[in-house]
Amino acid sequence: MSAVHGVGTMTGIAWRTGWKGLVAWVVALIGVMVLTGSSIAALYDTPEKVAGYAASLGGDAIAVLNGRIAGLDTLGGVFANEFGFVMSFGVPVMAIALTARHTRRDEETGRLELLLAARVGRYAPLVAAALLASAAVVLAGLGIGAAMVAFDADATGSVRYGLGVAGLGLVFVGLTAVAAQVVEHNRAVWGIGLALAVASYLVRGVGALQESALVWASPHGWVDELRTFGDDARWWPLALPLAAWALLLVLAFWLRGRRDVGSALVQPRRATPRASRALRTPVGLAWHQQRGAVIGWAVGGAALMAVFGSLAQEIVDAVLDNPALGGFLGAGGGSEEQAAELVLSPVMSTFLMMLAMLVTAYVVMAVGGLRREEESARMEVELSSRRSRGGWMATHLAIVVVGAAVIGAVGALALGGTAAASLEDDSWVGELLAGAAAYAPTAVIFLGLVVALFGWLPRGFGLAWAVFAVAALLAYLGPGLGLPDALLDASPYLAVGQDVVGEGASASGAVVLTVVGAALVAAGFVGLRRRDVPVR
Amino acid sequence: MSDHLIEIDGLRKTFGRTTALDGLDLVVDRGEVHGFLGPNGAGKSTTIRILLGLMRADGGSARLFGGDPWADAVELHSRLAYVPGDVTLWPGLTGGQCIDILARAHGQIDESRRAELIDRFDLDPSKRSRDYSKGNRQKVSLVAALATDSELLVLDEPTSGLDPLMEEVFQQVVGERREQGTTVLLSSHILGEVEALADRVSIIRAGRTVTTGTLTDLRRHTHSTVRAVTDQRPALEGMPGVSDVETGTDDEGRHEVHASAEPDAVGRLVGVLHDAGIHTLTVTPPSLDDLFLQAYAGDETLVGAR
Repeated sequence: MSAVHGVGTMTGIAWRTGWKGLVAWVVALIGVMVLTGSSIAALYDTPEKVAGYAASLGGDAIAVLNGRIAGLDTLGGVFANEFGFVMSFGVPVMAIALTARHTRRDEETGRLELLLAARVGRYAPLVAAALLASAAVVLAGLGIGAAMVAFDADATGSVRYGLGVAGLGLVFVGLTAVAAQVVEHNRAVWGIGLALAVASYLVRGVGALQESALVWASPHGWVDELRTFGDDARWWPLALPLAAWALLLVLAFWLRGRRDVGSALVQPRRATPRASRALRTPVGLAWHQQRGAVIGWAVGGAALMAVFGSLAQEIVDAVLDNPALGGFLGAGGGSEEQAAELVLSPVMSTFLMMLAMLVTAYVVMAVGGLRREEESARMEVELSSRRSRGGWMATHLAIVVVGAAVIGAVGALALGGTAAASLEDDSWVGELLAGAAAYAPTAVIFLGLVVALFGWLPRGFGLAWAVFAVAALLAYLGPGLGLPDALLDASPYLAVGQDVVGEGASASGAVVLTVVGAALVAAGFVGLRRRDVPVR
Repeated sequence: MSDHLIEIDGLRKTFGRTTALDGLDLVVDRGEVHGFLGPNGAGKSTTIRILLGLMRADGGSARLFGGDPWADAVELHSRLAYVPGDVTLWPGLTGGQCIDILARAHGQIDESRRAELIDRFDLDPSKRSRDYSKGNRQKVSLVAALATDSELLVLDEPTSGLDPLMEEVFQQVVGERREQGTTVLLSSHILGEVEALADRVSIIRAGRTVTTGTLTDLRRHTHSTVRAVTDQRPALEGMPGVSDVETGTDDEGRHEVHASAEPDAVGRLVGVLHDAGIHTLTVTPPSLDDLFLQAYAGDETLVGAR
């Protein structure tokens, strides 16, 4: 019996236990492309409008976010640019989720041990997981390409783009498969995968703005280097993700062959057998549980913002070099500072909005952690001591609020500090800190949402992520699609103001979000006091 | 103050369409170890959660230390320690850290007892709890609860995953705590453990109390099995309290008798067998297993035996 015996069985099991997540990912990614495609096709219905698209972007600044998309004067290029952000994070996260699920997660829970004791070879689970995850990203890529064709983009270009997207996914399937051999816990696999995704995204952004060879160091850059809808489109860069995928999987198999089931290359260490005085207090314990997440999100957010901020001068130069835009600004007769201000304020507002999305995602995730406290019975144990329900939740929420403030402040400082250094103008620090503060109500409304769900509908907590996804997509795609303001204001990220740096925050939006958010938090406390623990 | 630390009367709880508790009664007196037995899904954990104010009853009453567990949860909890059946401890903390946190939550920790228990349970407190086996995780919860000075220990299937040696240690430690006057509510599946520790037991099934009493009480209401070989045929027909009589003859022409007898009929039955000339005789009292199986299987003859 060979070491890959039972691949069919394992694939069947992985499909039976994980098909819902797999199908949801594929459908969601294709769905976003269909949504983007249909709105863009309606909005840019003449070749003239399509040709004017690039000018509306504010020059090269967008390359930091979406990479350098070839052929922005074609419908396909517009699709690719609008889809760029979703692709940059959606596809890697999909690959990480699907691969980690059937490798380290199943191993950590002991399910693989059970199966490997049966007629299943050592490598079979890894083959099955890689097979299924790879098939899913390829399917998603082809579906995305097909959706673009359906909305009248160039057919060859669309297929090329779809395969490029699939390639990005394949690289992350490989990276996750390797990470699953190296560390012992599912959480750590996710941490490594996400860190690599952010790093690859940042490297591509810097490379794209500088038009340097740095883009080749990033799997995200490989997608752009297909020059999909440009005149110089080419196929050969597809070989890079395919080669990386194959090499990474070979490495994963090699590592798998050198370790025991359930173990990892990095072994757990011993640690202190006593809890410190601080850890024994409720606040200390809650902080201990949140500490890793707060530091991780703060460092990740700060890195992202620092890269954006340090590019400030380059963004201004890139825009001013553009004859059409430069002339327009120069004609105003303003000083260089004023021109910089005019160019940068909407861009900086967008960066701050991304920071706000990071902060709210942390809030949703951190309060979601309370559900895990409940499911693991730790909440039960704590509540069976001398702690009230309200006190228990208030302690945890206090840490979440402090954590959100830290992540937001550190990110804003990183953006402001690096922008100030790049532009040699210290006033940006204060301006961007104030701008970040204007986004605080978005965190309040999401805190309200998740606390209310935890109090009244704990089993429906997934709803919070759905609301987050819709709000973020609306804020990211909505303005470009020319949706009416009333609809845009439904997204908290736009309700606080569409250009908070340039135009200032919307007071009415901030008040509504804060009041509703606070009321929802209060409702959540009432709900928790009335419900069963654990909820059935 | 009443000597009933726990007093539950006609407790009802439904989850949607499922009835978890359907008029459950339970009384636990000060200083006793009370065995709380029932098959999976009988409502043991739900009862305990209502008793701790974690869940709200739909009907009936539950009193803990004479107070209302839902309204006065926090005050009442200062006098007890709880070990849930299935808890996933803080994965990033070591077993020792978890013990300190849990013990602090339960009340004041007795340092020398903590050290002694870690030693007796043979626990490595410097390992992270995510790296523990199930049995070791259970030891952490147990050490934390047993190291406190709580008046009442609420243990929900506390020994699941423990090996027989540790099971033995657990029984010794709980025995010692009882000597010191601690009251214990012990929900369990392990009959030997309950038989060794419990002063009284309550057996529940489908959300109702089937029977409650001391083990002696319960045995008194259950039949003993009598087997004998006699020289003559004993006249057992129509004897009150004797049932399931089967007779036959062996190779040597002696009479084989098998019957089950109520506790107060055993003496008369043996008398009759004696008159028939006993060759061999065995009288087997009901084991807890029999009680358990009879109660689980829904033998209603036990209901009302208190």
